[in-house]
Amino acid sequence: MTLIGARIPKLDGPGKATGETRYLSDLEVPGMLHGVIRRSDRVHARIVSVDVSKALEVSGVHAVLTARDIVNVPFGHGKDNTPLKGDRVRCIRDEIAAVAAETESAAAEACRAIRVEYEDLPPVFTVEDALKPGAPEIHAGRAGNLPFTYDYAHGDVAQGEADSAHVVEGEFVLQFMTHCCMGTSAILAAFDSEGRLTLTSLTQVPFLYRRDMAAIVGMSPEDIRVIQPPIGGAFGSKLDIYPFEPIAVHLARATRRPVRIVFSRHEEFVSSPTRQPMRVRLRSGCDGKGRLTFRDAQLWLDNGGYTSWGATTPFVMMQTFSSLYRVPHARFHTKVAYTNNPYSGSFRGYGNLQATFAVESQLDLLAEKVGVDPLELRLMNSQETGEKTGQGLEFVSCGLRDCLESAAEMSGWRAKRASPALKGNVRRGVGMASMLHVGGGAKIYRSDGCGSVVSIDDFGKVTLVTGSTDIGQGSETVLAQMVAEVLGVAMDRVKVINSDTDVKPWDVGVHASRTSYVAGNSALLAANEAKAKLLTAAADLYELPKGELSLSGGFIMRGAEKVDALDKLVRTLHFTGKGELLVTHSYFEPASVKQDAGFFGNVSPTYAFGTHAVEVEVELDTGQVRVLAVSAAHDVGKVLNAMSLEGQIEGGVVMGLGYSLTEELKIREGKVLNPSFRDYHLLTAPEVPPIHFKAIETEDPSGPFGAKGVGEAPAICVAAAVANAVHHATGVRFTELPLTPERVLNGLIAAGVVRDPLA
Amino acid sequence: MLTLPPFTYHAPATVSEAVALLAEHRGDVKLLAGGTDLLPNMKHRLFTPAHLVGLRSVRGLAEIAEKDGAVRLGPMVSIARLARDPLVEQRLPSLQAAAQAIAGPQLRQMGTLGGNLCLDTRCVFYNQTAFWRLALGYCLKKDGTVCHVVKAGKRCVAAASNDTAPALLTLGARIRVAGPLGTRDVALADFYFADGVRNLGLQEDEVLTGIEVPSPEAGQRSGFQKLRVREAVDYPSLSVAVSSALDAGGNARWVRVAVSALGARPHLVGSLESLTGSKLTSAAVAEIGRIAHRQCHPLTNINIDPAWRRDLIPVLVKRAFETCRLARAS
Ligand SMILES: Cc1cc2nc3c(=O)[nH]c(=O)nc-3n(C[C@H](O)[C@H](O)[C@H](O)COP(=O)(O)OP(=O)(O)OC[C@H]3O[C@@H](n4cnc5c(N)ncnc54)[C@H](O)[C@@H]3O)c2cc1C
Ligand code: SF4
Repeated sequence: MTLIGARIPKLDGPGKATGETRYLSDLEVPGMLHGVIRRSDRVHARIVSVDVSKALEVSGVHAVLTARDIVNVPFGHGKDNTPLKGDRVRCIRDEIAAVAAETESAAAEACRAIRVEYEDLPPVFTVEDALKPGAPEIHAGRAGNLPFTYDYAHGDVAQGEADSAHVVEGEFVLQFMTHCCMGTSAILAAFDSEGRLTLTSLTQVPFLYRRDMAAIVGMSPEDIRVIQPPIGGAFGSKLDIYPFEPIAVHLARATRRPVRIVFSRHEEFVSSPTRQPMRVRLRSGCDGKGRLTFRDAQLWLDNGGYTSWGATTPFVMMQTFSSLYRVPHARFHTKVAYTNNPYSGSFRGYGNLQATFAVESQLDLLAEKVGVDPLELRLMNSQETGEKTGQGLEFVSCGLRDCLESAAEMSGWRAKRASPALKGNVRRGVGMASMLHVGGGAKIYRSDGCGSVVSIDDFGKVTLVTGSTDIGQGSETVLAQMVAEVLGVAMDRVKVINSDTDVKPWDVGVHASRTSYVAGNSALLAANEAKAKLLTAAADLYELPKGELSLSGGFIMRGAEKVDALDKLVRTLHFTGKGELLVTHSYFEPASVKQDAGFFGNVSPTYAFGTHAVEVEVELDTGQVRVLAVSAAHDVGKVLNAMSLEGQIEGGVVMGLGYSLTEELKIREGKVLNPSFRDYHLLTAPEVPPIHFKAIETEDPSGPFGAKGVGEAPAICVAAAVANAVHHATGVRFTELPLTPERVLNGLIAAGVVRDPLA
Repeated sequence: MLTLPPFTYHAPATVSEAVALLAEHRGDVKLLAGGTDLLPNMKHRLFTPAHLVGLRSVRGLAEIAEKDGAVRLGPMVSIARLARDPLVEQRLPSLQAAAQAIAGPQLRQMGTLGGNLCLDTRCVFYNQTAFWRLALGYCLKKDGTVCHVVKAGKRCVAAASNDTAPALLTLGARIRVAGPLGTRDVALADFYFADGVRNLGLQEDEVLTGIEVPSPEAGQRSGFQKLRVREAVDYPSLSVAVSSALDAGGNARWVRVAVSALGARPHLVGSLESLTGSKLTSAAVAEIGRIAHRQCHPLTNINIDPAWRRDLIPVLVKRAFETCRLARAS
C-alpha cells in the first residue's frame, strides 16, 4: 500500500484556493432569469389577499407566481409543506409569492411591490405551549401539534433503578444553531425543448431528490436530470427539498426560461434549516462501582412550522442513549412538536450533539457520586470489539477504549485532573466526553447502497464514475486514492465523475457518514474487477501465470519485471480481434438492516467512536470560558488520507466549539434576531485552540482498507467535554448551551463560587 | 446580496467645498470617510442619501502631530494607523489600545477616526435589513413610533459603540467642526447627547475637521478595556477607558473614567472628585467601579445580557487601571 494513509492534497483544493472553482452563484446561462421569493413577515397568520398587480408592472419581470398559479403539492417528511403558501403562513420564512425577472434587483423590487394582507393567528413559540391542551393548532387536522413521537426501550428500566446505587437526573436545554455554509442555498432550473428538466442543484441526495421533485412538480423522474456543481458546504442542510427548489421549477415552466435562485446571506440565516433546539430530561444510574445500570430519557423537540428530515433525528439520538457505553436498561421517549419558529432540519451529527451533551454530562455526575475519575468510569463501561448492544448495534470493530486512553494521554489527563488550577481569578480544568455514531451509513431505505463504474481508456487514464456526492468533505480524493491504489497508478491518472445523474449510477446520497465506507467499498469492487480483467488479459496475451502478475507504477508487473504498460495493454484489448473495453461496474450494499418498528437492529455495518479531552480556562470575574486545547482520538478504522482526515477533525471540532461557546440563532417570537455573520457568532481564528489528534486504527473487517466513516464524528462530543471541563475548573455544572460568559458568570454567582461583584 | 441604493459621489478637494456640497444637498446627503459604518447602514436602507460627499480627496485631514501643547489628530487618520503610530503609542496609550481593539484588520484599514467619533448608534432592532425591520415593525430611530427595547419608551436608547470616544473623553479631547458659518471648537464631552436617534452635536452641513488632545501632564497614565464576543472582529459589548495624573507622591491630581457601549452616549463617570489627592489603591479602584456601575443602566439594545454587561463595569474598570500605561515624553 502506497497511497492509503498518505497525506494527499484534496483534488478540489487548487481550484477552490485560487478562486477558479465556479459555484452555482457564479453560473449564468443564456436567457437566464433571476428568481426572488416574497416571504412572510408574520409568524402565524391567515393570508387574506395577495395583490401582485404592482409587481407585474416592474420592468423586466416575466412572471409572478402565487399559490393560485401552481399545483401546490404537499411535500417533506411530514407532507405538511407546500412550495407556495396560499391560505396561511406558519413561520417567518414562509413563501407567499415568487418573481422571475431579467435582473435580481428587478425581481427583488417586484417582490417588495407585492401587497399581502394578513389576519394574525395566535402564535406558539415553545414546545410546552404547543403541547398544552387547547393550544392553537398549527396544521389543521394534526391535533395536539404533535406530528411525531418516538418510543424505544430495551431491558427493564425499573430493574435498572433497583440495581442502582447512584442515580442522577437533570434537564438539558439546547439552542438553535445554523449551518453557515459559505455558499448560500441556490438552484438553477432549465427545461429543454422536449420538456426535460435539468436542475443544477446543491442537493446531497440527487437520486432521491429526482424522485421527490418529480412528484412535487408533476413530472416523471426520468425526465429530471440533476447536475451537482461544486457545493460550498452542506453539513446536512441539503438533505431535504426546500420550497425554493420547486418554486424555481415553477418559475422556469411559467417563463420558458432557465431560472436561478440564489439566497442572500440574510435569507440563508432566516430561511435555511437549523439544528433542533430541544429539552432533554435524563435519568442515569450506576451501581456502587460505577457500572451503568440504566438510562431513561425524555425529549421535547421544536420542529418549527413544518417537518423536514430533522424530525427523524431521534432515530440517531436513541442510539446514543441506548448504546454509548454498556447500558443494560434504557428507555427513550421523544415528542416532536410544531411551533411557529423557523423549522429545523438535518445537521452534521443529526441530533447526536444534543444527546451526547446530556449523556456525557451525566457520566461525570455519576463518576463524582461514585468517587472515581471520570476516565475510569468510562473505561469501566466501555464496549469491546464483538459486542452487541441492547439495541442490536453490532460493534464488529470498536476502538472506544483506545480513544479514551489516547485522548487522556494527549491531554495530560491524569496530572491535570489530579490538580486543577483552582486558585486566583482564572481557573483551569479538563473534561472529556466520547461519542458513538454510525460509521458506514444507516439503512433507512430498502437499500443503503452505491454504484460505481470504473473504466480505463486507451491512454491508461482511469475514470471512476461514482454515485456518491462530494459536498466538500473530500470523498472525490479518497475514492480516487482507493482506485489508484488497486490499479497501481498515480493519483493524477484517476478522474472522478460524480456530479450528473444522467451519467452516474444510483446512490442514496451523502449523509450518515457513509461515503468513504459505502462508496469506497463500491469503488473498490469495480476497481478490483478491472484489475482482474487486466491481469487475465495480460496473462492470456503473454502466456504467463496470472497469479504471478500485479499492477504497479502504470505497468503490468511480474515480480520486478515490467510485462507491459497499462495503456498499451488496454489499446491491445481495443484493437485486437473481437475487441474489448475495460469497463467494470459494481453495486455495494452494506451488511446493515432496516430497524424494526421498535427500532431494533444493526442499522449500520460499522460504528465510529471517539473521545475528546478538552482543557479550559474560566475567568471568574467575567465568566469567559477559553478553550486551551482539544485532544481528539477517533476510531476511524483506517486512515485513508491523513491530511483530509485532519481537516475533517479540525473542522468538526471547531463546529463543536462554536456550538459549545458562542453559536446560537437567537429567535424571539419566531423572528431571527441575528441573521448575519456580524451577529451570529461563528468562532474566529483567535478562539480556536491547538487541536491534537490521534487516529485509532481498528481496521474494520468490512471497511474499505479497514476504514469507517468519520464525517460527523468530530463535532459530536465537544460540547459535553467543554461542559465537563468547566465543571472541573469551577465545580459548577452547566446544562444549557452555549456557554456564553453571561450564562457562566450567572451560574458561578448562583452557585456561590463567586460573589456578585456588587452584592 | 445586499445592494447599495443609488447615489451620486462627490470628491471635494477642500473642507469648504465639502461644506458647500453638504449645504447644497441638505436633507439628502451624507459624508463618507472610510464607509465601514455608513455603507453597511445604507445597504440596510437605514440611510438612502442621493449624494455622498467623500472626504478622501480633501487634503490635510490625516495629520498626526504634537504642537502647542496638544496632540492633533486629523479625522481621516485610519484606525490602523492610530493603532501603530509611535506618537500615539507614546503619548496617548489608551487611544492606541482602543484603536487596536476596533473591528478587524480590514475594517481598521478603511475605518477612520472621524468616522469612528461620528459612528451611528447601534441597536439589535435597527441594524437589520429593511425587510427584517418591516417584519418586526419600524422603531423610533427610523420610520416608526415605538421602541422595541423599552416598550413604553419615547426615547431611543441605541448604543454608542465607538471605542475611541471613551478613550478620548478621558483624555480631555476637543474637536473642531467646520460649517457654513466658519469653524467652532467643542469639548468632546459636550459633543454627545443621550439620544439614540442622533447622539451627535453636529449639523448636517458640518464636518469634523480635527481632534485635539492636550499633551499629557507629568505622571499621566491611561488605559482601555473592552469586552466583545470574539477578539477578531466584534463591536464592544462594553468598553471602559480610564486616565489619571499622579503627583510625585503618587497621589491622584485627577481621575477620569468613561464607560461606553451601554447607552446612547459614551458616559464620562461623574463624582470622582473625592479621589483627588488620594492614592489609587485597589480599594479606591473598587470604589470607582461601584460609582461607575451606579451611573450606568444598560438595556437590551444589543443581543447580550444587559445585567451582565453592567456587572462587568467594575471588572473592566479594575483591569483598565491595572493595565494603564504612563504617557512617555515625546
Ligand atoms: C463588523 C464591524 C465591526 C466593527 N467593530 C467596531 C468596533 O469594535 N469598535 C468601533 O468603534 N467600531 C467598530 N466598527 C465601526 C466602524 O468600522 C469604525 O467605527 C470606523 O472607525 C468608522 O469609520 P469610517 O471612516 O469607516 O466611517 P464612515 O462609515 O465613513 O462614517 C461613519 C459616520 O460618520 C460620518 N462621518 C465620517 N467622517 C466624518 C467627519 N469628518 N465629519 C463628520 N461626519 C463624519 C459619516 O457621515 C457617517 O455618518 C465596526 C464595523 C463593522 C462593520
Ligand atoms: S433603542 Fe428602540 S428606538 Fe432605538 S433603535 Fe433600538 S428599538 Fe429603535
